[in-house]
Amino acid sequence: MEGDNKYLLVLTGVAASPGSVIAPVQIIEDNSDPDSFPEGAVLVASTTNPTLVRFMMKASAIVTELGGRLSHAAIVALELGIPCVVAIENARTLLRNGVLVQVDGDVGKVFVLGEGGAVSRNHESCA
Amino acid sequence: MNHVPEGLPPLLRSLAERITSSTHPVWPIPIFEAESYLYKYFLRRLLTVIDSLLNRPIAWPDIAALFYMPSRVVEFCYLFLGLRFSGLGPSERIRLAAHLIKVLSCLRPYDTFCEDGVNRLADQDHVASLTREQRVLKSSDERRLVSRISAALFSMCEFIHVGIPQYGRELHGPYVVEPGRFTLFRLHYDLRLSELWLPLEQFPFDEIEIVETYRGTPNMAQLDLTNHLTLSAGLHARFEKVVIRGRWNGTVRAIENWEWLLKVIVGTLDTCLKSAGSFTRVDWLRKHLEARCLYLKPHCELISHSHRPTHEEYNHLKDLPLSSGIEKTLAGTFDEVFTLMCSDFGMAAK
Repeated sequence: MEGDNKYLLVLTGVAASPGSVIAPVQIIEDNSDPDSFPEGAVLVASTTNPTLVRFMMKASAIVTELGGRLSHAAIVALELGIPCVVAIENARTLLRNGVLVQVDGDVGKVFVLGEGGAVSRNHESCA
Repeated sequence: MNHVPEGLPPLLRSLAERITSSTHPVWPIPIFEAESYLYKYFLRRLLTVIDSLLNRPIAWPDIAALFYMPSRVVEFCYLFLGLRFSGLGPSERIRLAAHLIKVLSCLRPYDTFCEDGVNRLADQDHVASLTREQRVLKSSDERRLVSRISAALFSMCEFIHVGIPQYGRELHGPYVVEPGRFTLFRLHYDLRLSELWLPLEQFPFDEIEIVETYRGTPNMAQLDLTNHLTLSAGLHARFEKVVIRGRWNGTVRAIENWEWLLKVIVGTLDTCLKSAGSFTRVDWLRKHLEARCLYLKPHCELISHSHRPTHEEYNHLKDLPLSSGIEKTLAGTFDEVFTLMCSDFGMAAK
């Protein structure tokens, strides 16, 4: 985790599936309902398993606190062709629902850009 | 017979590399904990079954066919970690390893250990004929739909095979049929394993195979011994053509309605997950044991053995896991794990 003058926060994990996407966060807890998961949100969870497949198919990226390059999250993200970063400790505490992030599955980082839809004035192009 | 089979060192090397380079499945039970309940009885069961088939006698290609796909055999080889708990003597361990390597070489004759990043199971004519059946993906929505089917099938395999999808899923290729393109197969089998999971009785296919062609070079998709796929960045956008085929009762047909297929897969998975919703740790251990024994059902039928776990095997699930004996191993370096696995076969690590 680091502060960076381009972003509010940068979280570092393990690159698990390539690609880069900017979207709002949606944290998954035990009692989350897949029907209320916003299409295209970034799925943030402790870990993933087959019970979360409905959520994963709506996500534009996946971020987990646990796991490695060959974890369930990584493999499903690869199948779906969406970026995935795993092993970000305390991701569910450091991020909040609705916060806009860039998930970069090539370098294994999550860049926190700002509150839902709003972008920090220090933000430059994320491409 | 204590002669070390030629393929054993590279096999152990690949397994040690996989064990030490990555995290391990933890759903529904940490995998090495679950597998530790197989060390005492299942390894001997595996050896006895293959010995009995050879004594029938049944030829190696026919024995290999009973295992069906090479990745299932590779997964059995992870159990070598628990050889010292198995009660197998030195020559029995070597014989078991030799049997499994022989089966693997029958099922994967071209590059048994996928050392070149290719898992070549189909012949070129078969691949070419399937690419002629493929349809071009017209939009990113279609691409996304196929990807969702693939992800849902992966999760379904993970559920059916109690945490290890490779017991029912084989990725093979890449194959080059025309320059500038390569083809990958994703085969999902034993999808109606209703003896293990009753809800699967309603699933319409025994197998689903997705045959994908990408623009690019085959080094953009590499498969290793343990059937893990490494893809180049941006490959998804190069996904050009696909055919999805379903097998039911020996008949294979192309599946055209992909939305329906996705709905059926996710619906079946949901029903299965609900059926296991109140499972305890011991319930999952039972399913894990029953699944591994069920893979030997075709073998056992030929030699009039029961494939079902014995009372002893079920009772053993109440014991503490033997994995506490190998936890230190799992946390070790590649050299430590490789050396240990070699020593369990009476070999020096080299």
